[in-house]
Amino acid sequence: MIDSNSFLKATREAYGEALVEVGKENEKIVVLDAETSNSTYAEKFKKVFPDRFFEMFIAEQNMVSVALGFDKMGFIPFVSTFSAFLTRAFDQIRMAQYSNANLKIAGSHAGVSIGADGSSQMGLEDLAMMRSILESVVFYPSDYFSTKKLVKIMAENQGIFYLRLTREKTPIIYDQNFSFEIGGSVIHRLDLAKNFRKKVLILTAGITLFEALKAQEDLVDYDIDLVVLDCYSIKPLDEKTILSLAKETKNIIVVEDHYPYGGLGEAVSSLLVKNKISLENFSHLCVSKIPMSGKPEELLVYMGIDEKAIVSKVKKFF
Amino acid sequence: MISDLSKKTKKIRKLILKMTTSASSGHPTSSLSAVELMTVLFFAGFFNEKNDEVIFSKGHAAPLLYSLYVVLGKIDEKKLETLRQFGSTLEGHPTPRFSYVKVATGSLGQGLSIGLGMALAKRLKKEKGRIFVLLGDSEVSEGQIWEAVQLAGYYKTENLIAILDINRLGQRGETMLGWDISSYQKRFESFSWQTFLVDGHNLEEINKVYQEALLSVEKKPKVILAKTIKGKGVSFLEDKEGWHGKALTQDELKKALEELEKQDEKNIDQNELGVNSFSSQDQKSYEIKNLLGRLKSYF
Repeated sequence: MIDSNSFLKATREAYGEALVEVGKENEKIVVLDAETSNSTYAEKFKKVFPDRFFEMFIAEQNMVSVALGFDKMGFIPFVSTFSAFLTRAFDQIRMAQYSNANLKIAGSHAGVSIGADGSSQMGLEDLAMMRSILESVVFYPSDYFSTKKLVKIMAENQGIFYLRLTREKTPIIYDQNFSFEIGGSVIHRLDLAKNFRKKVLILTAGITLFEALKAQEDLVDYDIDLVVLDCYSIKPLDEKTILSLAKETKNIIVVEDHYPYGGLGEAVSSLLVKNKISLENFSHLCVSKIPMSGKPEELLVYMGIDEKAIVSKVKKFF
Repeated sequence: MISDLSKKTKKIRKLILKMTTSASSGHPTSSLSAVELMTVLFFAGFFNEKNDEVIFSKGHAAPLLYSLYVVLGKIDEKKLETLRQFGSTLEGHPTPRFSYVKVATGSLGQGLSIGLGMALAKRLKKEKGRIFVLLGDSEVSEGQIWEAVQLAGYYKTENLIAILDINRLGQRGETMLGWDISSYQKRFESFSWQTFLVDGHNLEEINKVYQEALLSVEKKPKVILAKTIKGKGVSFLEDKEGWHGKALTQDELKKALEELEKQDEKNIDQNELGVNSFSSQDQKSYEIKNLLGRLKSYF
């Protein structure tokens, strides 16, 4: 549930603050950014550790390969830019996996929810791209504290990690002591709804988590137990939890601010098929039209990944 | 020293040709053009394994890389027979399965950026040493190369040394600039690099140019612009189109090795070889026999 008094803060800002924290703990951490550090908040790190921050200017391919060079000399590089622009460095990321890279990549301004800047600035393929790297880990946090925890996990674990960040400020919903892990998830379920006969599982992450949580409250009056799972670990997924909830609810809606291909929806579909889970209903709400400029909330509505779209889809199930 | 280096270049040429023919694939001609550049780097005291890094951005010159490590005594010559075979650490393009490289290359245009990262990392650690990056001329069409060139100029990474193997030919024909070395020079200099020009097959000149580059006190990244010949050392391969990424057949290999043998022995008294006592027909069969013997001892 979202407390209406929830403090708002963007996950990208949490990223910048977390960099400073992990940077204090480990002097091997270096930060590279492609001339977007005031948007990705990597500049927070620069202010505290100017020697360990490297401005890469607007040259993403070079940035990723330079980061690999830092890695191979014993540093732990974090690179950041808009998620949309990371796609032009896919070959460099692809090649890095053959060098057993220890590479931390953050892509901000993901999804149509960036709003006014329009389609050219929206990362809508980044989950697909980063999931396709064989041994990658992909995180998509929704709030301030989960982002900070996941950055710490990235700093402490070897491998290619991707962190998907949101432009918009989002409510802080997790306690700072809440634990997050690779392959983890968080169940949001209203106690009073547990005995309802109609059950639907919403699998989502990032900005659309809040749309799902709003829908959850809307549906209490309709005798529907809407179980919302924050799949902040897009890869690997929390398979055990998803499968168990899928079996219990038999109705699933995946909601994501990403194109239909290669994101959370396809990851979940693949998991369900592999485990021969039979469902009564399955629906994938995602960005399935070419986007345009607008207000974030207008775009979520236009794409059908907002609170009302979820509510109406759920109602159609019964 | 030069005669010793010269012997090594010949040994390396033979290894390159033999291993690619044995594998029935690979890029012998792209390896042959950089033999002198890398031989001098490795064996004239310029490359210090302890402090320095070397990246073959033109990863398809892997046969040259592996040959260098054979001559260094790090890997057994016999191992070259496994080039490009399943399970071998000697892959078609280098990966860290081969323990003497840190990064995989072969997707062109990325090595200079990796080298720049290493150079910046070394500076941050206040470590001595240099990063050498072997670049192909065809790969400098990649935009990423110029991203790296520009940023290295900006950061003045004096510990980064690029070696550009300008052999004029790409996969299907001539590069945009061919042997127009001065255009390369202008481009690099416009991004604040220090440039050095050299005949990429003249051991003495290469030796001199490395000395100059390493002694330079200019706080700039450096590039050695080497005019080279693709397929150098084998007349029917030299500067010829249509030989990119092709291994020689057994017959072609014999011919190529014969040529290299002749170059080997040109300073030795003809009588020692007994050449004069053979008819030309005999001489040919003698050479082939001799060659086959050498081939056997190699494989």
